[in-house]
Amino acid sequence: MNTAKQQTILDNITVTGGMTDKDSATKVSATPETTSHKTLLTLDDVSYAYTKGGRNVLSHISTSFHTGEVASIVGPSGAGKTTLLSLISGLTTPTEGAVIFDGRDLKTMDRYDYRSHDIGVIFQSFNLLPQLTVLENIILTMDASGKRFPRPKKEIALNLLRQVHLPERYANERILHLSGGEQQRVAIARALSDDPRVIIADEPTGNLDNATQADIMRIFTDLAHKENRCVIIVTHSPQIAQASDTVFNLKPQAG
Amino acid sequence: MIIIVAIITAAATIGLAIVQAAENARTNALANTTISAQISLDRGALMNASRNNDTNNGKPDMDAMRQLMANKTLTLEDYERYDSTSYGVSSSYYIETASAAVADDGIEAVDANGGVIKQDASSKQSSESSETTGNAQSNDARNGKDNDSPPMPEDGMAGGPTGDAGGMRMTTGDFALVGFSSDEAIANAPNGAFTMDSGQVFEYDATDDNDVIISDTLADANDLKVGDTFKVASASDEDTTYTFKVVGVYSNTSDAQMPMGGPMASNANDPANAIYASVATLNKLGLTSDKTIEVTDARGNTRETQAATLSYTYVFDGKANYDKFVHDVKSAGLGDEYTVSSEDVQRYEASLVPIENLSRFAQTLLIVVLVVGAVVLVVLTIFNIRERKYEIGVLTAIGVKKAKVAAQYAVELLVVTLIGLAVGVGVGAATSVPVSNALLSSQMEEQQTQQAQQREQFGRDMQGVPGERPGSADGDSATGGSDTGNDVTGGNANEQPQESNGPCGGMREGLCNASQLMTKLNATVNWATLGWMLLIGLGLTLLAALVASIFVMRYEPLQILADQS
Repeated sequence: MNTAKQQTILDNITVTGGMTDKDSATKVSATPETTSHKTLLTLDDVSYAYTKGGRNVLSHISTSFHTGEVASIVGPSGAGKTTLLSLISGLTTPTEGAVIFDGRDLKTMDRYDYRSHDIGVIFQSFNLLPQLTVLENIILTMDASGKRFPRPKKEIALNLLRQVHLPERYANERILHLSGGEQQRVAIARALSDDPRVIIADEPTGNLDNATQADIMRIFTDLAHKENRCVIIVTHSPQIAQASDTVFNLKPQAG
Repeated sequence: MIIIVAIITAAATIGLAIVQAAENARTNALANTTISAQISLDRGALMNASRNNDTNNGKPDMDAMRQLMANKTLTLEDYERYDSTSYGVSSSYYIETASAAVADDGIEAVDANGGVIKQDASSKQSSESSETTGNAQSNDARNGKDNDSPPMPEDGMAGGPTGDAGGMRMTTGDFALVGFSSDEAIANAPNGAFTMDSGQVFEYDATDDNDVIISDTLADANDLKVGDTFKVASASDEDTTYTFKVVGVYSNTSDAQMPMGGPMASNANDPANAIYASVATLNKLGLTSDKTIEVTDARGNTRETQAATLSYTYVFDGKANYDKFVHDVKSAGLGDEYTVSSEDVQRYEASLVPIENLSRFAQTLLIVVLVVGAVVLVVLTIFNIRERKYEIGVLTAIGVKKAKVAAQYAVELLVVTLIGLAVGVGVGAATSVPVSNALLSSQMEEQQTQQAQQREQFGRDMQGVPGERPGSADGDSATGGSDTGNDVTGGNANEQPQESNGPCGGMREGLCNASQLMTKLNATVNWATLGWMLLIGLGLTLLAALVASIFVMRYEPLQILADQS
C-alpha cells in the first residue's frame, strides 16, 4: 500500500473506503471534513503478540491516520489499545505487518529518532520526571529531540504552557506539586515541545472532571484542525470519541 | 555513596603508600652504597653429594669429603679470575689467616681474662696438636666425625653458610696471624675496627716484610713497643720460629666479645692475640693458602691442611653490580657448589623484614579493600539504577538513546567517585604516615619478642643473626645499612636503641647502626600513588558504569511504562 494510493482514496473523501476492515477492527464513523488531509501513519495488516508464537493481542489490523484529524481508538479493556499505541509510538515493532510513517517502515527507522523527532506521546500515567520542574521536563524533551529551535527553549516552553492553558506561575513548580489535570497539561505541552507531526495520547482524560476534559479535548482538536497535526487518542470516553473526526473501534480478541 | 568511595579510597591510599614506600626502601637503599661480597663453598651440597655416592652407610665419607673440599677450595688465582670490572667488581681485597704458637723464647699469649698465661709445655703441646687445623673446612668436617672430641662452640655458630672470616675464628694455636692485602682489608678487619695507639700500619710491598702491628693488650702483656721484635713459633712445627717487628700498636675501638668457649677455646680466638701483618709477610713465611702444612691431631693422625685460610672479598658499587656479579660468575663457570653471598645485602634485607611484612600486609589490605570496594560499588550502582528505572523508561520513551542515558549515568557515577576519591586520598594521605608507622612498630615488637624468646632459650643472642657476624665488620667506610637507613627512616633510626641493641650487644657501634632495624617508614603519598589511586578510581567507576550500562540496555521502555501503569 503506497501513499499515492492512499491519497487517491482521500480524494474520494471516503476515509474508510480503501480500507478493507479485517476480522476485528471496524471503522465506525468518519467526518469527511477536509480534503487536504494527508495520510501520515498507516498500519498495514499489523499483528502483535507479547511472546513469540503466543496469543495475538492484535491481529491483522489495517488502518491509517491523517494530518489535520483527531482520530480516536476505542474499545473495551484488554482489546489491545495500549499495545496499538506502543506500536504507533515506536516503542515496539509488530510481529507481523508493518507500521508505515510518512512512507517509511518504522522497522527500518531509528525508533529513538522517530520518538524524539516525529511524534509526541502523552502517556496514560503522564511519565513526567517528578523531581524536575515543569519547565525542565519540557526542555528535557526538546534537548532529547536534538532539533535546533528558532527561539530560546524557555520561551517556546512558556508559549506551550499558555497553549495548554496552564498559568505561567506553574513553570518552576515541581511535577509532584501539580494536580492530575495540571500534570496532564504539562504532558501535552511536553509532547508538543519538539513540534511533532503526530500527537498520541493514551487516555488523556482518564480521571479528569468534565470541564477539564472538555478543555483538553478542545486543545487536541485545535492541534489537529488549526495546526494540521495528526492527533491519535486512545480512550474509552464516549464524549471524546464523539468529538473526534474518526473513530477506530478495536474489538477484543476472541482468544 | 561518596562516603563509601572515600573510605575505600582512603584505605587503598594507605595500602598503596606503604607498598610503595617499602618498594622504594628496598630499591633505593642499596643502589648507591658499596657492597662487599664473598664466594664460598656450599658445604651442605658437597656433604649431600658425598653421602649419595657412599652407598655403604648413611654417613658421609669424611676422608673423601675432605679431599673433595680441598680440591674445591678456591685459590687466590681463582678468586682473582673473577676480580674483574667486567663482572662489576669495583675493588677487592683479601685476608689470609694463619696461626702461630708461643715460642720458647718468644712472647706470651693473652688468655681469655686478659692475663698472661704461661702454659707448661706439655699441655700446650697437646692442645695445640689436637686443635691445630688452621682450616675452617677441615675442622668442621672433623667435628662431624669425631663426636667424642671436645666440641668447640664456634663450629656451629661461625661456620654459617657464607663461611666468611669463619676461618679466622677457627684458628687454633696461640696467635692468629692475619695478613691483609690492602688498607681496605684492614678497614674490614675481622676483629673490628681499631685505632693506632702508636706507630703506624705496615706497608704492603715486599720490603716491609715482618712488619706487624699488635694489639695494645698483647703489647702491654709482653712489654712490647714500636720498634721491638718478637718471636712466635710455627703452629705445625715448634722448632720453626718467626721473628716479627712491631711497627704499631693498635687498640680495638669496639670490645670484641669474650671468647665463648671458656677454657676450651684457643687463645688465638682472643682478638688480643691477633697479629696483623701484610700478605707479603705471610707469603714470605710460607703461610699462604696454596701451601699446606702437616698437622697431627689428638689421635696421632697426621694430615695436610692449608697453611692459611683465605677470605677474599669483592666490593661493588651498588646492588645492581652485585646482582650482575652473582649472575656473571655463574655463567663464567663457577660451579653450583659455590655461592656468592654478601653480608651487607643479607643484613640489609634482614632489617627490611618488618617493612616487608608490613608491605605484604598492606598488599593484602589493598586487594581486600579493592575487591570489597568493587563489589559494594557495583551493588550500590545496581540499586541506584533500579530505583531510577522509571526515569530511564521515560527518557528512552521520549526518544533519548540508551547509550546516551548510560553515558549520563557513567558521568554521574564518575563525578561522585571523583569527589569520594579526592576526600579519600586526602584522608589517606593525612593518615598514611602515622598509620603505617603504628603498623610497623607493632611488626617490630613482634620481631623483638621473637628475639627475646630466643635469647631466653639460648641464654644469649642467636648466633648467625645477620649483622652479628664479626667478620662482616665494615667500619665507617662501609656500606649498606646505616647510610640507607637514613633514607628510609627520616633520621629517626635511633629511636629504639635499647631494644635493637639486643642483636648487636657487645658489637661495634658501627655494626649496631648498620643492623638497626628500620623504625620509620616514609609512607607519604607521592605523585605515583596519586596516579595509581586515580587509575584505581577510574577502574572502579568504569566497572560500575559498565554494570549500569548493562542494566540500562536491558530495560525496554515499553516494559517499564507498562509496569508503571
